[in-house]
Amino acid sequence: MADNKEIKTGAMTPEEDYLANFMPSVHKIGRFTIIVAFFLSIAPFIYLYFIKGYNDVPFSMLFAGVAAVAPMLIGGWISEPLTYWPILGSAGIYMSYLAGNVMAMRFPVATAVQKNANTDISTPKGQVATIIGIATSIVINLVILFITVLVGGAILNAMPPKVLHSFNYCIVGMIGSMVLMRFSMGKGTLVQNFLDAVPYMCCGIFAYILVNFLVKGITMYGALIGVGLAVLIAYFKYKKARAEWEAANPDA
Amino acid sequence: METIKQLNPTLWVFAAFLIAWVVVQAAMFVRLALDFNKKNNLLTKQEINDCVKIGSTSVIGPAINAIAICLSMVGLVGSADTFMRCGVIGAPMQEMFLAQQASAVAGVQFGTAEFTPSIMTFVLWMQVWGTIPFFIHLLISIKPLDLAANAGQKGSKKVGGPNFMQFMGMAAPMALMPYFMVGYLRTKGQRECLIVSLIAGIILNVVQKKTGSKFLANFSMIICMIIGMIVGEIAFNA
Repeated sequence: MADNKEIKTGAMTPEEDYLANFMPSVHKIGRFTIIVAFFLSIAPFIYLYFIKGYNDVPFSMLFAGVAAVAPMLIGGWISEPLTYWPILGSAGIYMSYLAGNVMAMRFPVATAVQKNANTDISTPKGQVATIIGIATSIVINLVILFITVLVGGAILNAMPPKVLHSFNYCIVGMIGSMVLMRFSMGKGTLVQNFLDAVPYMCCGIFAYILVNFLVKGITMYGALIGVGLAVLIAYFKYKKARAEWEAANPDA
Repeated sequence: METIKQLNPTLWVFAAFLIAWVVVQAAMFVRLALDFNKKNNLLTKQEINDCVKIGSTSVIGPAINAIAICLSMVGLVGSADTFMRCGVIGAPMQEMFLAQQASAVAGVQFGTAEFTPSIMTFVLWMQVWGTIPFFIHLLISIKPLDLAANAGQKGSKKVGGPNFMQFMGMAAPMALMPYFMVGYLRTKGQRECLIVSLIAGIILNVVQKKTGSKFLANFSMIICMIIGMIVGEIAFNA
């Protein structure tokens, strides 16, 4: 890494470079690739419907189909990216929503790499680690998916039913360890970090109770409500910490 | 099945382009991240290798979990559509749901003579609607979110000190994980899996800190997951 220090030029700190150069590049790449993906994902339909002429299904049914699923999906369309963005970061969210499986794969990977690098997504180091972790997970998942569509039947037949069923618990098991990872991050002890996190955890628990027991019909927004409340508390904590820091560092 | 056989080769071409684009995007971000890292000396080579190891191992369990749904989809809509849709945005469950909704709206069953290329095209249309709104959302919201989150830091006349992103980065996951956990605690199998993986996590954390084991640092999540899966399955069958 000593060589790397010699390559660094200019007077910018990593944080300044991050805000001035890195993040604009992230959005440039993210937006460009999402726009292209938009057209690539709709291209098969356009080709088959308009060019090959497989258009026995009338326009009215196309809209009826969308109308049938939209009420079930609209909550996710609105809330999911906002829920995961504070954990995955901008680059992570652009990658995750193109490659899919956000909750099952990208979220655990982001948490694990951030813990391993002892940082979070708010830092340049956390962004770099998250990008590398998520990109790797995307490639590995595509390889597994490719093998699955080719020889997946043989894999399934080789596994006993109980082993197969146990894979339903892999995300649950990951969440358990991810919570511990979060508590073991940062400067404090496990217990101190747990106590710091209690107000945020209460937001998640409150949101679960709210959407499952108190107000019907808003289940899709539960995670967003929990995260939203926690971010609100985080904002007040930030304002307080900032004021204290500025008072202690009048010359900064 | 004739429809699937007829359309599969065409759809494989589109699938190849779309999946290639996913890889291209990942490569562009990795290149940006590595260049930035080289310039600013943030992660060591060892830490980068650890990120790769974690990224590789963490997806294996969930990916295998999705195999059964993917295979069901192959049987209904063919291998190309499955690969294309489950490799992009695709939580396989959602793609399966959209395909089934399309057949229900059309009043046609998969694999029958009525499942024509036009119906398969309609299935594709419905599946696209699992993707497009997310893309639009990202284009509208992510850059403004970033700007808003960094605005306080940039706008402050005083340099350094706490910034809002640090607080938000802690708050969001600590709200999200308990939200899921409460749901898991209500279901047999999931409850035992969660509790045991939590206990295993605590033990591994203590051992890792005492021994400084790099192996445990990299693979503790996978170990917890496997222990949780075993206990969850035993509890489910008890």
